[in-house]
Amino acid sequence: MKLTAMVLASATVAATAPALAHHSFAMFDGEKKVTLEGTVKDFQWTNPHSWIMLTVLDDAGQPQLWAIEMGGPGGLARQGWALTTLTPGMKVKTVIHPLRDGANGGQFMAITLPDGTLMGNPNGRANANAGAAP
Amino acid sequence: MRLVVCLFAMLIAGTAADAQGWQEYAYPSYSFGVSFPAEPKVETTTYAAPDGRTAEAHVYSVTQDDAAFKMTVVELPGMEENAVIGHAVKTLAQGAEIKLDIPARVARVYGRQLSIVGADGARSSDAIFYHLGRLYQIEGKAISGNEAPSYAIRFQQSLIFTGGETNRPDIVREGRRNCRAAADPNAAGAAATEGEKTAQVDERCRRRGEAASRDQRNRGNNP
Repeated sequence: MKLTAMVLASATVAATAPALAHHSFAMFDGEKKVTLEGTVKDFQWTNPHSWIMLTVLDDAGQPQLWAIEMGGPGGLARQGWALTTLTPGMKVKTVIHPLRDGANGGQFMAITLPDGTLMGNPNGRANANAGAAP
Repeated sequence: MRLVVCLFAMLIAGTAADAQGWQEYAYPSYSFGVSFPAEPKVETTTYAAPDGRTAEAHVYSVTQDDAAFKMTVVELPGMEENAVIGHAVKTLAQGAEIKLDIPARVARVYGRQLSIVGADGARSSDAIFYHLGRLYQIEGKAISGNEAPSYAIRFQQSLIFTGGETNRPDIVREGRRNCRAAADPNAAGAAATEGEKTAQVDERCRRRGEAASRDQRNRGNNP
């Protein structure tokens, strides 16, 4: 699966993190969005944040692991997520705010599951889906 | 030293997390918690403080083939925050290049977050805080391979501070003041006429108040 990294200069306002979020989100570039297509390696349903570890092929066809940070299990469950929403081997497309330092990671915004189900909001506020406390 | 280690992962067990072994370890005696991919090794060692003193340091670490995950807590009471943080950054970045150095916040504790690339090309994700008279330094270092950097980030982002204290009481007080003012229909002005917006602010303030009360109770203080 090819990496489709579409860096979009977003005019949307990057909202500040909510007062009770576990941590600040300055490490993510809320002005940019990257779309990744890849295969779920792990879905870590853990506190204080859940993580999608996603294997994505780079332009040279080499697998690269991306760490995608989400909210905690409690908040995600209220948004319709479950432990089994993502399983290893699942092919997905996800939208993230990338890390500012260029490493393979980002803040979760939305994901499209194999059956076409969209979870999250690719055009939501920067902190809408990842890390916001309940 | 009495170290109490609690495993919260049993409460949030999941097949994916289990497969990787990532679990949250809490150290209430030192007011923090962090996730490791395996049982961490716990050591007591020394740390060269900015004023030349040798201080006691508690190190919690897991080293794997391709990555090293390390949390260091150093007893440095009565020191100036900028001196502690600056010294820690300088030490971490020796012979390396700082790719990112930005303010960081975990709960109500403020510090710095860094991305550093060593002379050998190894990338590390780090965060440093001075809180409760201690230096808290978390380092996720990718030694080799193209997966390790992602796990280094995942580790560094897992730090939590427990107990509810802050190292920026002025910011927290200001936030509470603003929240109360915004939630007060008489003081909110235009917002009071926008029912939904006001309700959202009220809800946010209510949750914040509950969290503050919970923190107070956890510390055994009167609200």
